[in-house]
Amino acid sequence: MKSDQTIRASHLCVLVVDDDDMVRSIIIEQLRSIGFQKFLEAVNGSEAHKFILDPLQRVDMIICDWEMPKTDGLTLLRAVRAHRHHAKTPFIMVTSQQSQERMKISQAKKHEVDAYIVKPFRAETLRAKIYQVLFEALDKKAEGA
Amino acid sequence: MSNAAKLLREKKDLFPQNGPVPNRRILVIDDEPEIGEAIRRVLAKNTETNVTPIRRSSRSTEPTPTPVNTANEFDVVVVTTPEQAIEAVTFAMRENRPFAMGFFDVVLGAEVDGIELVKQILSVDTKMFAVFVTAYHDRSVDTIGALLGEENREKWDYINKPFTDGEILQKARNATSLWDLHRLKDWQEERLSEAHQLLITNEKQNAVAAVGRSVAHEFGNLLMHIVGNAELAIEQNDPARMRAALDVILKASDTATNVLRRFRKLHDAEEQATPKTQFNMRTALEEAIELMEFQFRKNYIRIHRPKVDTMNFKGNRHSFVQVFVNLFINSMHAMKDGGEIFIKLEEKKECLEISLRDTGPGIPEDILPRVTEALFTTKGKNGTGLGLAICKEIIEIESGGRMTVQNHSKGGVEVILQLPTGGEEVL
Repeated sequence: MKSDQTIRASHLCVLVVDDDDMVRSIIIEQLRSIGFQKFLEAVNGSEAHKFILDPLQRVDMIICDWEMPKTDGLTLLRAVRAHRHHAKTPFIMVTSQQSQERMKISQAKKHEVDAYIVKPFRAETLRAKIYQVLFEALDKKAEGA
Repeated sequence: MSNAAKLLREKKDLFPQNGPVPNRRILVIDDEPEIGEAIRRVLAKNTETNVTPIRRSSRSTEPTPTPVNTANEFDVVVVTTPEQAIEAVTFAMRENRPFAMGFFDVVLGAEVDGIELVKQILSVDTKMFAVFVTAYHDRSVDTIGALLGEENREKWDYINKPFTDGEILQKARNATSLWDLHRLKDWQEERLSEAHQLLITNEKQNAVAAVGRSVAHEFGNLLMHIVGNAELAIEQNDPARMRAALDVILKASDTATNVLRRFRKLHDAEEQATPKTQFNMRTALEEAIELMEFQFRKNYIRIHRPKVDTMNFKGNRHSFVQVFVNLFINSMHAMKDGGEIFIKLEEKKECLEISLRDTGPGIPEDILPRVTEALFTTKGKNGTGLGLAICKEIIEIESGGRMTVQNHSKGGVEVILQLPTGGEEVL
């Protein structure tokens, strides 16, 4: 069943994880242009994980770079999926364009990544991915209800 | 099947496919045509059982005839003068059908005797084997040895007349087998050298691939800067913000250009083939650091650069960039949670010394002596075991220096490269 609910982007809080400051700010600008207004930023998986563990912190979607020092994207994905409240939080993995990435993507699928997006990407592509994962999440919720 | 044919087939079985083929070509030189022909009859193709004794006119005693079957075993060319012999060998070399050995009469009745002729022939065909045939003992073994020189010690033998068919046949078989074994050894060494070269090329490609993966990731980010800021610039009405976005785009493009230029240099075949030239070691080091910069940042590796700005060395600059990249990759793999690399350049009295020390866990003492061995790895399937072996080859064989890998007293691994100052090898 396809959800006919509309998504009010301005209400959702997006966690953006990337060790490159400029990439992070570009993604946030792109999210703003799509209509999002609430953001959290983290430079690596461990910092992002702190937000996940914080019961008072709202996180509705995660956009995370794959390759980061210390705690990479896949480690964060596993931690998120293992978390009671965030097991179904939409997770978009950002990767670089290289053949090796294909292998990584298949690995990520096993850990239930909702979508992946390859750098560089434009706001329009990000918007399409976001709406895809958010609608899927709503559908899952509706099916579960 | 005759014994000889069987023997030949067995020998062929010893040779690998596509490898060298057994050589049964024999040159016979004797100024008395009947002697040469007699030897040919013993050895040559399609000769049936041979019972003819070989004798020289001056000999009164005849050897006991030995029945032998030599069907299809040898390809024999008989000549009577030194000029013909040189011509036959030169022609054979040109046609790529060299002689495996020759029977040389010592006294040729010409200005050039058999020994001098062999010396001349060895300058045309260094691999041919000579058997001297003499009736007079006018040249002792020591004299022949002295005349041919130490360098040709293993390239000749001799036989006294009178001799039997069997003796001639045995000399021919021994000498041609020796030729075959030498060619087989050369061939195996060539294959080994090719395999070695292939491993080195593969490892160089591995290093290029490792840097390449990092470059690809860096490029993803740089393109993201460009695309993101281009979108921002398009949407901006404020000229100042638009200009700021365009500045970022230009800066990212410049960085991408530099990364690409350095990366191309790393695997540019022409650059690798550059002969030894004078270069500044510090520049080579900086090039390697720049190539790895992105990975260092990603892995929280801090580099402590040397205080020395100039250290000139004559060698292959590209090889040294390769060495530094390999050593950096090793240190980085050892310091999974980040760490530091301290680099020192020092011009000592007796050598140039480069030291790289990391703050990783070090190498267990029991495997330390083996880390520079080819194919030894502690990285399981993620390592080829060639990184340090290639560094050692570049430092010690290509540059005449010495590479030492040790655990540092303050912890971590220290790699010391000692290089010759004035072309003298570091012992």
